[in-house]
Amino acid sequence: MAKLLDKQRYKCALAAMQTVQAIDRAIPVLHSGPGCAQKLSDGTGSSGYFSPNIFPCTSINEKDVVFGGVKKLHSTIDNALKVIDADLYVVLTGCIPEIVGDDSGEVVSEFADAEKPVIYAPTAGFKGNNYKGHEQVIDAITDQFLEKAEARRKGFVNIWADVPYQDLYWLGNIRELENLLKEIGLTPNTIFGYGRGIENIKNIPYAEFNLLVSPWVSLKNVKKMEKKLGIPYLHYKTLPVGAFETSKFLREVGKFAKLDESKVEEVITQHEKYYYYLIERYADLFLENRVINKQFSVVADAQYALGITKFLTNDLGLVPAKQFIVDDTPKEYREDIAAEFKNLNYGLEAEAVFETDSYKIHEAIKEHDYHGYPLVLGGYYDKEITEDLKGNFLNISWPVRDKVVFDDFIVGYTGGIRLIEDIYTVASQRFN
Amino acid sequence: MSYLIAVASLDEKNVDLSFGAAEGFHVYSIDGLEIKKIGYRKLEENKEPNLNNSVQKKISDSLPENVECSERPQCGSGKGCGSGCHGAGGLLPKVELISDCRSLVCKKIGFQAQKQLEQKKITSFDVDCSVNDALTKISAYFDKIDRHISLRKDGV
Ligand code: SF4
Repeated sequence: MAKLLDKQRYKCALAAMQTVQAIDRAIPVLHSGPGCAQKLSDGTGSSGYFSPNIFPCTSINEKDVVFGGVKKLHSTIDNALKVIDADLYVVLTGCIPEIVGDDSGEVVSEFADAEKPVIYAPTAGFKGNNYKGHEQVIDAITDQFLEKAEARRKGFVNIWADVPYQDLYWLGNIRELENLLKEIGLTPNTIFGYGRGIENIKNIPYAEFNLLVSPWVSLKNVKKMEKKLGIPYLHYKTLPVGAFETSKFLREVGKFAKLDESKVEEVITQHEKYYYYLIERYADLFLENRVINKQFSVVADAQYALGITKFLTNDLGLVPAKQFIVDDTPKEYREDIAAEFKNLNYGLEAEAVFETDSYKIHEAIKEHDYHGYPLVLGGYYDKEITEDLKGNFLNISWPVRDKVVFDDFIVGYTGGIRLIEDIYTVASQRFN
Repeated sequence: MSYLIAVASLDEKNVDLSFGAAEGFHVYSIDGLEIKKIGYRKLEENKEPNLNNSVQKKISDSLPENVECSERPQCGSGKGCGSGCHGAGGLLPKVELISDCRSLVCKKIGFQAQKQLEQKKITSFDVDCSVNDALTKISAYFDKIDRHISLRKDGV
């Protein structure tokens, strides 16, 4: 039976156009209805050299449903190559062409000899959400663009984290992960954001290993790269936020890369010293138990729900209530991810709930006894309910209306401090 | 339930006429997937619109043959009247002529004519293919829609 889903927290797979947009000088070429692109281009911070308003689109209509849209796709790609100066053209298909059976792959293959690379990712909305669409784009790059390298470079590491634009801190986070890796002596390679692009994509096959920092998104991608390009991967499930997880993260990466342990420890010590210096300075704020809420819930995708839950529990000593994972995590990963929520310091455990329906999430928040006012870190949809319960709310996941993020981040030591600043800013306002 | 489709074609084999250039339409009756020709409807002479002014007539006459059809004044593009429309105002006689049809197939069609057909719930298809191909595809499409079955190629 058809089911109603109230305020879901993701977009359809075609929103992978944001993943493409995050690659500098890459342009999505959409094979979809005109409305698809329009409703998916809500991203703040998405104007610039290519903005969603100029993405080439076949704008298919009823005629193409009846007669097929491949001719239009062909001419759209052809003209995009002529009038748009890009480094990479990624054809993305929406629902209609996939339903009526346009062979878009075939059309794209006719451009194999084009001067610039043209690749194709099937991203029909009915196949899944934009987390999966993101994976499709990276798979398309691996399948259609990359070749195995003869030799790989020692210490050269590809980093993969979560989905650009869907994750409001995507740019800052990936840069901070790069910085952390540099500090322990590795050379990071990423493909998203300013100053990265086609050259970084070309460099992917030379990596010593892939580092995936995400509970599940892109696991499929790094597995494919392992198979096709022979690149092993380290899957680090928890986004490291704050000192505890970041130190653990650096040790594990160091071990995997067979780095000099003392060098890694040196970096960790330096960071921790400063981190705890800051924490100590504000000890009175932390100890003032009127200020902060006793229990918290995170409503976010698996990456943020897990990363932030661990941070608030392990570093800040807060008590986790139910945590809501809203990215429609594929069933095969759920057990593993739920187990991670049981793996907290101080013998604490959190219950992870995989739920995409905001109504049900809000009912669960209302029912739970937070032993006072709740602290909710979630999407803008959760603001009202938190305010009804007189709780404190911080907008850290999609949809984002309460915050403007240029290149801020929550990852690492510094990211943890930023998140503390944000949380306590909200919490202290109550007493002004 | 059967319905009608109007086709603009000179040789009845290929969809080779634009909406504006057509002086009449071949009309087919469709029942499910069955296609039956039922006749040819010609635009009556007196239904030809009076030219608003001779200047437009001149413009239209002086257009070279290779001008894109939709740019030609007679295509219902709203730019003027050559041989088949009232310009920006009024209902096109050709639209009236086929107002009992569910669909129109022609080689090209201008924006205004398309909108007028739309208003009469007539779906227009501007295609470059054989009449048979067009009718087969359109009837298969309407058949699926009418029977509420998926448009997926494999029909599931
Ligand atoms: S779900 Fe399909 S039709 Fe809707 S926006 Fe996405 S691609 Fe377009």
